Amino acid sequence: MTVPTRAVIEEILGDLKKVGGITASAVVTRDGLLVAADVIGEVDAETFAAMTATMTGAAETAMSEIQAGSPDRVIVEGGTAKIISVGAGPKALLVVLAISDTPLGLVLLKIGDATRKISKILE
Amino acid sequence: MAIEKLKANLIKQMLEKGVLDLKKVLEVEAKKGRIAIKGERMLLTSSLGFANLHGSVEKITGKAAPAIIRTYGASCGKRDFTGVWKAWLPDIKVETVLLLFPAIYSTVGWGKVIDVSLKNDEGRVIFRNCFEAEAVLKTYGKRESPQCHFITGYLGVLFSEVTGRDWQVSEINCEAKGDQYCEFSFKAR
Amino acid sequence: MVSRLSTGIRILDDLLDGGIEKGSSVLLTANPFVDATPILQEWLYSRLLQGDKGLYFVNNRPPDIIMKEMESYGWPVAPYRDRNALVFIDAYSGILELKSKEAFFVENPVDSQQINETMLKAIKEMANGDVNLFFDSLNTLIDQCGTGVLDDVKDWSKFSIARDVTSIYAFTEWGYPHEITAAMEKIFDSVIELKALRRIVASEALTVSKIKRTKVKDKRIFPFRYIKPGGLRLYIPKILVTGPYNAGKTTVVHSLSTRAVSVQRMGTTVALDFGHVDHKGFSLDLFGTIGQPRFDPILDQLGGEALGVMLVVDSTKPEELPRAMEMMRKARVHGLPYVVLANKQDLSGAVSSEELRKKMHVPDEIPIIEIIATEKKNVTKALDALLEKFMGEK
Repeated sequence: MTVPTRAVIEEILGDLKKVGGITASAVVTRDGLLVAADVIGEVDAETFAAMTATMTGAAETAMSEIQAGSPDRVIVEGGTAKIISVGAGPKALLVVLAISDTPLGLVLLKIGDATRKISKILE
Repeated sequence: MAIEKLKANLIKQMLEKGVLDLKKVLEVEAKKGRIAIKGERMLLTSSLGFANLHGSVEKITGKAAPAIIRTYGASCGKRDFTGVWKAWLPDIKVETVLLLFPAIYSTVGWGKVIDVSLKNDEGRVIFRNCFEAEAVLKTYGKRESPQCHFITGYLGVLFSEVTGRDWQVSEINCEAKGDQYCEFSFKAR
Repeated sequence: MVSRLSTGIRILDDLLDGGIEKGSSVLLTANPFVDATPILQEWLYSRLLQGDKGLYFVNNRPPDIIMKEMESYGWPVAPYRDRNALVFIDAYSGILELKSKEAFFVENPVDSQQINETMLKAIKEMANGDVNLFFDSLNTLIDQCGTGVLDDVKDWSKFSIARDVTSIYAFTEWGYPHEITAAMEKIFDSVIELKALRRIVASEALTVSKIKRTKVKDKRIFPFRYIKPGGLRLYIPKILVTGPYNAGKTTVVHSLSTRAVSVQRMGTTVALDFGHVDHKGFSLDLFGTIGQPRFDPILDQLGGEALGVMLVVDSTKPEELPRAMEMMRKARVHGLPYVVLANKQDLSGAVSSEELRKKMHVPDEIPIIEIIATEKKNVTKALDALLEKFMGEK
């Protein structure tokens, strides 16, 4: 991946952070490699990439096992934070961290915009 | 010339210590049901087991399987660095490791190492008859992308520990994909 | 869902399934004999009218000339420029070592790094509201900066996706080597091709060969020309209106045309009927032939340049049908799309279209339309049928 691709994706991630409630985001490959991230210090982005890819991959196989098609998104809700993982093309995922009680309407809309652009850029 | 002499000495030492000759170092304790090399317990299992690893992980986590297998490879690489390499060569030097690497990994059955090099910010390792690729190929047939995730994770951590630098490894040619050999490309981060 | 932006040119919108997706990169590629810029400019004007911003990169003439070109087509863009809705990236003045008054200026247009920096700066600065980038032209860029510049173009397209900038690049195919055309294939989502049709004198044609990264199967090709004022008009140079003596050809031509001329003596046409009609985005010339036998050689001449034929027959005179088929042959228009107009349906003894089909042995795929030319009844329907045949067969 060339530098401009990462730079462009980082710009898109930067825009996402302006949405109320979103604290960090990353684009990872579905097989667990980090493409670009906008995360705050403590998180080891590379490990996080492997974990979120696995979380999403397992969600897909689980849905497939019950013959329910493929997931539109994977949302993990916890005490202080939410993790939202959405496909960004056949090879990548957009993973967004949000504050726990963030209403998801606008967030999902912005995520949809972002994944559409990221998917085109990675084509 | 000095390097050639060093190389010759090392190889002589390896031969004398029997590292290259498995038959000399393999300790079979039939009564205990235990096999070891120089005290270190070993297990004989079919290399095809690696295909089972791939398959099981993929069954549960789908496309993210490489991430898990790489992580497993990385942790094995770390253990081999501290438990084997550092234990054998306390004064570990990159050149030494590069010199011994082909012999050692060929001996333990990973495959035939054709090339290993690490220079400036780039490097590569090339295997023929790579065990991981062969296991996947024999069990699942030809795949579309490189399959040696265990080795990828392993090599990344091993060389990062040896050199003290952070290396990013990716497999760019793979026998499981139909290529002539498995080639791992190293880029310094 | 992604919004599709209209190009403002009806035929292009049709071919592009409604328009261009916001953020796409479009290649407008032209044969060396065809000018692509009027399309670029008509598109720009239409987007400005919609409230979008326009960013115009030019490296082959001064921005003021572009303003004049647009005015000459009847697209008054000065007010948009005045309020910075239309902004130029001037990569031309630098070649003449002149200073520029434009918002974005490349001092040394053969320095690809400067061009790259200015382009990225412009894309980033303009991105409030929807921006459409028009690039005039890509081949000049390659000629001046070398083929490596295509990597920069690729980067611009990525930044454009991120910032919702829709880009259209004009390119003239001066026989560039395969590596260049192959590299361009990878950058552009959609491709509009402008060709020079050899069969018709001085006519250009357009087609869309790629939409959203997929090649278009069964490309449809449309001849067009530019008119001032107005811009792009689809063009079928000549429709031949032919048929036996007194079948009603002149009446048909007059009933269809917005303006028509006939030279008649004693109630019959002695030279050609000539008419012109603008219909459904097409700009058409109608030529009515003479019905009498001694003018047959003229038919041969005209037939060679016609693109479609309306064969008018008098439905009350079936005995003239052989003559009608003979005229068709004589005009050498077999192989051209044609329709049959069964005229004078109001008179007694008029034969139906099914009857005519049997008597004239007209193939099933040729439409026969019953008309009353004097009442203008169904004449436009017949023209539509011919246009449909024309579009389908091309």
